[in-house]
Amino acid sequence: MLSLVHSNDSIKPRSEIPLLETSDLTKTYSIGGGMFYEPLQLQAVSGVSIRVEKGRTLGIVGESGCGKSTLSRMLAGLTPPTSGSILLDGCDVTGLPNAERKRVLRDVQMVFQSPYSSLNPRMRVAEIVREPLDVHMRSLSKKERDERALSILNRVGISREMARRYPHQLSGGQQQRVGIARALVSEVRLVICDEPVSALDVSVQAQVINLLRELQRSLGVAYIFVSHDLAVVANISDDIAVMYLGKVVEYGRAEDVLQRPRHPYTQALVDSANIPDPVLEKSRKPRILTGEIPRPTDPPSGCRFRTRCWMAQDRCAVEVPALVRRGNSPQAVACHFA
Amino acid sequence: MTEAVARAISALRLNRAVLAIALIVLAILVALAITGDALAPMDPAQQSLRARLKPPGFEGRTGIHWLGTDAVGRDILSLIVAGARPALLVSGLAVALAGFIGVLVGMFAGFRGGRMVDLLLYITNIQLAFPFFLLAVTIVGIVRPSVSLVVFVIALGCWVPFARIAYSETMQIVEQEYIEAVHVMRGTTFRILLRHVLPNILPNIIVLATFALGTAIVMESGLSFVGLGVPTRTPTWGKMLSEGRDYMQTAWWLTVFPGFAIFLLVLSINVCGERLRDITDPKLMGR
Repeated sequence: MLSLVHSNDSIKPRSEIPLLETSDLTKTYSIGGGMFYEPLQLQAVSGVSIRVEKGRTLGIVGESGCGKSTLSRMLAGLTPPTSGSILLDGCDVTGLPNAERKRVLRDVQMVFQSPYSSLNPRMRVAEIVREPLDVHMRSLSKKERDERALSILNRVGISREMARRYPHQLSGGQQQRVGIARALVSEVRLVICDEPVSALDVSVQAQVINLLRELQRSLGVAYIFVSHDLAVVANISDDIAVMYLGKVVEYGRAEDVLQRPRHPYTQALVDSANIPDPVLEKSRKPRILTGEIPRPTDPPSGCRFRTRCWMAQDRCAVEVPALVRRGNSPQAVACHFA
Repeated sequence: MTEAVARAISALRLNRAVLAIALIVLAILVALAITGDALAPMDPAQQSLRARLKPPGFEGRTGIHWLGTDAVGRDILSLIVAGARPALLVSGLAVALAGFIGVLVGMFAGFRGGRMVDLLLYITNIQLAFPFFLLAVTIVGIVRPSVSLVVFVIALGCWVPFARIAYSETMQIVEQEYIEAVHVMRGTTFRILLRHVLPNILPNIIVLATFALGTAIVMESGLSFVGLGVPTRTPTWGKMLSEGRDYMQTAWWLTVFPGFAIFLLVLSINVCGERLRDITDPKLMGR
């Protein structure tokens, strides 16, 4: 897989190599275990293959426990994958030696879920945002680094006066803006946003999402936007991957996935989102999922969604549905009946 | 209701008064330690066979002995003044050393986790199970006593709480998202520990240091008492206690005054430390 990409490197035009591509990315955790019994194997992420183009946004959506956070931590280089590869500009970063990987992964930054705990309470806002420059732009003078930090803060709507404050003196929305400024201050190309707005009020969520879109237009960064909230993901994404129990069940362009969802899980997700039209809202018959997400240490055989699926048949318990385009659907779906 | 409020206010006033007294006592003792025996009313080394074991208020040839004289006729007040420097210097250096080593070891264990933690807990458990004085007497008995040795021995006696606090606090802090952010920007371990972990554990460490200072002063006095303290021209507070022990029945002032000096110093340091803890408590910090 890796050699294929490299041999094509010279022939293909640059733009055809995606910024980030994963193939069969898997993360397995061992839980417990001891002298007399085997540890439980928890497959948090199982065979995920996604790609992100330059300057575009991939939304990853799924309920809690579906492995979306583990996936984003692997992409940010915080957790090593158990198997599979992560290609950045066609170059496999998982196999690189430590120092080299650190250098390559500088282009990938992260915005965290909790605005407050992602900022060091004992550092001033300006220092927090300057820190990535302190780490790997030592060629700039301290004054230049300060200026760059202040200018990006200005772009996210944090004034010079506020930059002198400590994080606890800012509101949640302002704190998250600081987190975004920190991610974007060095020359990054991919920002992984792990539930960046789920801790904020709805009105502030919209502001932050608009800010992210605006920054994408002007800076040309790509986003991987992870959320449990389909409405939020729909708002910002070019492509959407829907995850269930560690696997991608539907993957395609945002409008295809949202308007004509093929996988029953996606259909239920789309149905569960509110429609801001009372007439439509009253007339529709949403499919509501029942039951809990199964234990990831002991996933169902065959299709992992079959225990909660209204279309499940005997075949689903035996055969694992592959994530492929089916019939005339533009998006890939992992369901036998899509 | 009003009664409760009044009680709270008076308690607060009392607290403030105690704190003020503690600060004044501490300031005086620190000033004495800095100036040495220059502030002593008489030469603390001056012996006088005629003025042996005189009670407080005795008027000798060189003036009034306000706190009396000891077995060789030295002025107790002057000896206490002269003893402030070794007491504060030795305990201060020992706590600084203990804090440095303890925080360093604790932070690394908390950051690395796994085997480092097992090792740390193993060592600290052994140390805590081993009587400090036995250890101290053994070491000081083998090596010739000197200021640096006594400092080292006392530091050995109080580094454990530093390591444990630093370890447990670090373990919590490295789970925070702001540490993950440094990982994502590929910052070094050194940066994480120095710029992020240390400033966040420092308030607790400072408070701990004030309590350790009290312990260290008592340890120093104890070592001096058994004759293994700092070699100085005049006896330290602990040494004064041990020298005065034989005369306790007849000349109480030989032991009571140096003992009171130790008590006063330790108490005022602890009061200030407690106040420092309240100040740095994040729950009491305003938004």
